[in-house]
Amino acid sequence: MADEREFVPFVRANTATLLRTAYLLTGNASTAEELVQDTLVRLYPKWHLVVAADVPVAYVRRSVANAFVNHRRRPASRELVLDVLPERQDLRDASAELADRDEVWGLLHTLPERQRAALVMRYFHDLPDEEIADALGCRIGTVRSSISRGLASLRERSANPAPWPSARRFA
Amino acid sequence: MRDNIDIEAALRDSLSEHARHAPAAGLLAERIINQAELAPPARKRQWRTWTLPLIAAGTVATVAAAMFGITQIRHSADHKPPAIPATSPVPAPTPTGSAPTTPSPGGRSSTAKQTNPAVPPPLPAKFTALDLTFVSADEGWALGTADCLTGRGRCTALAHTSDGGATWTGAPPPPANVATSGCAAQPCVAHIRFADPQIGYAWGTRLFMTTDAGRTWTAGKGVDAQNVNAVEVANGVAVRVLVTGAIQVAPVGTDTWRATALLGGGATIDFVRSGHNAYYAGYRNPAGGGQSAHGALWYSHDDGSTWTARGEVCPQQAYEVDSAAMAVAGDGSLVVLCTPRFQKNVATSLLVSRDGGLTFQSGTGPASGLPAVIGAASSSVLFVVADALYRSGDSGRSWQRIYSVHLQGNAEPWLGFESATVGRLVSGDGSTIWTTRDAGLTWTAHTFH
Repeated sequence: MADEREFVPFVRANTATLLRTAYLLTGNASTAEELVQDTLVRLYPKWHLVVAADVPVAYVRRSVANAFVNHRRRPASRELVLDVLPERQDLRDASAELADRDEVWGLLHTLPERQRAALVMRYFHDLPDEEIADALGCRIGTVRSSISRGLASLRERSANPAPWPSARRFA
Repeated sequence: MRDNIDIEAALRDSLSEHARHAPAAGLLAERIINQAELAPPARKRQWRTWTLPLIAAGTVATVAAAMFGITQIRHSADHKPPAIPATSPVPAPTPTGSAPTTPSPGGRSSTAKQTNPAVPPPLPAKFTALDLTFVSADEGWALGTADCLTGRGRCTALAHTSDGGATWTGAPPPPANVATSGCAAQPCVAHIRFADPQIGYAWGTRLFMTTDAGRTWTAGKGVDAQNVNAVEVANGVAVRVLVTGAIQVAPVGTDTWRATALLGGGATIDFVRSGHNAYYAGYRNPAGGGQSAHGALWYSHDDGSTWTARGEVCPQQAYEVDSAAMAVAGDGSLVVLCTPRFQKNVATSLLVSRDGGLTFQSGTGPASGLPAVIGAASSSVLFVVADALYRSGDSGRSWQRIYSVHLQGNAEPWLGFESATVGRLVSGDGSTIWTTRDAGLTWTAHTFH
């Protein structure tokens, strides 16, 4: 089928960007690969739906985000592996900025999945609320509250790191 | 963490940085394709007892709605065409206010030719550069996006300089969207190269060519003009790399491409040219489940006509080491960046070849940061963009930190040298172009916004 023939160039052209999104969502390379692979293989039999979408890569990205949220809801996946503990530097130089970046990365992956996905869509993909809502399959109000609560949690946890890591909560 | 940190800026910075650590996509793409092709075919549509009545009812409803809709349109004096999909990050309105950057649904012919006004448009506001090309020390173009002149959102934009990057004006852009994190709406371009002041190429999900300094852009013909990974021009010959790993050559300014090789069959890592030499790095075809397949280097010494496989030139360790990027210098030297796969806190290395890719000498990367972009002014003067811009004057044995600000963004910075002394660096957010005229010792910034 012509639609399925378009699958190959699409995968070769867009796997990198989908993988970046998946990696930011999951925080783990192998899980990100599994997420992208499962999503694309699952979409392949109905690829005509992807082709018919206004923005095919956005359609697939939405599927990746949904698969991420659904996967994380399964009890077996409720675990969090952190290989970098936050550093508490107060030097205002480049090394402190790098530490901030790593700490934000670690804190991001303590947030509930929907908040995390909303923050990735907003601050990496620069998507507006409407497109984030479309990608996550929720209402615009939910997106706004997810982003607001996510940022508030990041601020709170970065300002009060003492409870770490017992403050982690899982969906 | 510092108390007064801007959490939004820190989050954006963190996501941008960690996105660069995402695993390589080339092998995964081939695995997905292989697995999908082994998947059972989609089930054929089955008619159920209620299907035909449902279709009949739907048809009646559609006809009724259509009749009602026609009546409404006839009574509406200000009927407008449908808006561009809200999911598109690159809306259709053009910064030139003339030819649309996104072809209309009825005008997506691969041979469609769109004419832009003869008078170059002004450079739109908030221009951000994505790719850069220079045909001399003074004249160059930058492909990017800018605020649309009409309507809201971002539009495809082309900037032109004739004074070495000190000042920039607008130029007619190719009739396509710009692919940033992905192609929002076809066709998309992400790169640009000019062979001379008249002939240029822009490519991405489709290849466009101009032979009149960008006044008109023509889409390449045929399926091979779609999904082009790279184009480089030199010595009157254009060489393009397709996503399939196919290499094709054509006289500069023509659309008569001739296939010369099929390299790798996997994803492209990088493609560079210098003089009559061309270098292609890509992943070998991992069909058969070769998850640990290495990248490989091919070289051509006759403008892309014939190719020789060189294999993975990066020395392997207990872990796998991949060729991650290449750069060529004006003296013909080839530099290869070698990065360990899925390893943290392991130093990268650089290889330098002075004999067209036949032999390599090894150097080390800078101690901090994960290099993603390299440049070469000569075989000894090398550059790496990691957490900052680093310069080596001794083929990678030692490194000096040059700049540390504004290099990062949602995309990788762009770095290239036109000669042994003149080079350019585009920040990751595309807002700034730095120019050096002393082999990278000092840099002058031009900031668009």
